[in-house]
Amino acid sequence: MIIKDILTALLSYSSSGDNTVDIIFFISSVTLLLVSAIAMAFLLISNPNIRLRKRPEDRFMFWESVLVFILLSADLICSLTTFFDGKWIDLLYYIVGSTEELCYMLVVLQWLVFVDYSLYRSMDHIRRRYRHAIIPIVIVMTADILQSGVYFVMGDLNGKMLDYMNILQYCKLGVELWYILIAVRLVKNHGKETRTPKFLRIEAFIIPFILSCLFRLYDASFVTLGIILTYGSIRRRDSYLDHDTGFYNREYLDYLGRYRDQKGYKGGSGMIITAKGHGKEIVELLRELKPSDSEVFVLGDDRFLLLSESVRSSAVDMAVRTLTEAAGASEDAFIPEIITAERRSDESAVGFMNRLTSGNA
Amino acid sequence: MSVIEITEENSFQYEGQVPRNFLNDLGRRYHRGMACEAGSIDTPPTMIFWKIINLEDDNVPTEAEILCFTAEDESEGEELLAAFFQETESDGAERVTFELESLSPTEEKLLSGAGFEITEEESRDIRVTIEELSALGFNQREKYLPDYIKCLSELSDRQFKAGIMECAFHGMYGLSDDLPFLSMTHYDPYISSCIITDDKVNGFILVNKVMSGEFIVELLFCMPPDASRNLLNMMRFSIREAMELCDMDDTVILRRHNKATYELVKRLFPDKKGDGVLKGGKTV
Repeated sequence: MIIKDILTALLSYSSSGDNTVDIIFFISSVTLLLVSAIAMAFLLISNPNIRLRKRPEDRFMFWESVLVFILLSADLICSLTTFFDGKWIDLLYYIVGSTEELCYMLVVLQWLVFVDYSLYRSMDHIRRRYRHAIIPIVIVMTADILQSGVYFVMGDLNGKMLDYMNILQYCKLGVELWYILIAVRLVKNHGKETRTPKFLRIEAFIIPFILSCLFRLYDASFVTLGIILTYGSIRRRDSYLDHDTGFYNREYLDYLGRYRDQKGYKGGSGMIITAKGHGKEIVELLRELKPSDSEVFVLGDDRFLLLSESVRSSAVDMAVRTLTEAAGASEDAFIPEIITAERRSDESAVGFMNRLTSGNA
Repeated sequence: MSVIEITEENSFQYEGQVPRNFLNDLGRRYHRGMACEAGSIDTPPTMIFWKIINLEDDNVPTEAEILCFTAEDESEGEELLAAFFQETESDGAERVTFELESLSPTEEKLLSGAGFEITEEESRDIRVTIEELSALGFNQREKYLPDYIKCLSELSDRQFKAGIMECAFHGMYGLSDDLPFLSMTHYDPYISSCIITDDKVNGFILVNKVMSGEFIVELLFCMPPDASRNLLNMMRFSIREAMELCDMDDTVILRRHNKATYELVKRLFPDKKGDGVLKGGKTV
């Protein structure tokens, strides 16, 4: 009987009827909500990138954290309303409950946008693709608010409202699943399009999300866990970034070499670009002209490496010409020194990168 | 009698004797021409124009493709072909191919004698009019065109170069192996289109107007994400520009040079066939 009560409480997000079980779950739920809120706060405070929000991905994560906070607070308020009675408490419950549902869907949508940006790094693309992404949420939430209004004014009409409510719950779940499926498809397609290492782990969010659907009592806490784990998965990439330029550092070069050797990827070419006294200018030019299929590494203040999988000499030649022309046409005209090298067929990726950085290109 | 290379400098001597586009292309990186320096001024010169393809691609054999061959005199033709094979071999070509509209009996005899197996086949080129393009379903269905699609004339030279660099680094050269060396003026500035995302060009439809007055689509490229959708939008844009600026009878050549373009053309024009041409090939 106790097991049945426990399952009822966990799965249906309602009271089991057994006082002891209900108290245990109430305490555990509230404790987890508080722990989640503290964890989110720690994530925000401890990470200067999210605090400063200079990069788009940090802005996405910041707003994701804000939504999670509202979600946790709403869930906490909903839990506390069980101690009180009265019509206005019911109204508060409906308002906060709707806010919680709204935040829950927005958290999933925001996660999808974050995933998309992490893969393609294009704000224009994000604006184009997600212009109308909020429409399903607006529709579902309008229905939810209408239902809450009717429920508040007229009360439950012989249980009919409960049936309706379940349909609405499925609609909300459907919207969330739809966003998740889009993310899965994006990751799959991106995997086919590029051979660069992937730091983002979508399962870090999807598994807690599934758990939150199964154990409705702890849904907000599971979703918070998903966001924290997602952020944790991409923090490794951050450690490979040069903070001044946003390009990769030498550690990533070593990592990439090992990664390519491990995967057995062949080919590749590199360009060592030295622009003495013009570090800032060349960074701007590289940002503007770097092909998306290549990576830039910071080797020194004025020294950079542009690494690409392309081995066609005309492509590399064009990059050299275009960079040189652009540097010559800049306000403070200069001529960068550019040395190119191609990976030999018998050479490992690590060996090639060592050759490039040691100056024997 | 000696075989000389036709270059940009001496090409004027052959004006009127060979289609102008072959002479114009001589300045391009992989385009070559040779002629026999003999014969009277009344007889047409013996000439050959070709281009080297796949020279930079290690995964496929380098080829030489004959673009034009004229010979009235057999001995001159033999000498020219011998010099041509020597030249292509030094360029690293492993195979020589051609797709020509017609050959005179002498030319056919010369090429057969040189070891080419000549067959009459369907051309890889499909010719469609602007009217046929405008009638395509995807063009008629959608009225709205996103504002991030621009014509080539709206790009700065630097943006164009950055976009071409993007294509080249992705190994997308379209019909031109010398794509990174071609300037923006090589393409029609209004019918060619591109996609701008985050101030960068990440998709191109590059159309060249050849001397015959026909248009040829030389590059179709779009970067992910949403590559297919964006490519379709660019095609729509280019068709609409062409509808405004050209006669509806003007012809566009769609060259099926690889599997992807073959599939695309088949999908757009399932009933269209290429003209009958003479094809030949020979391993060097």
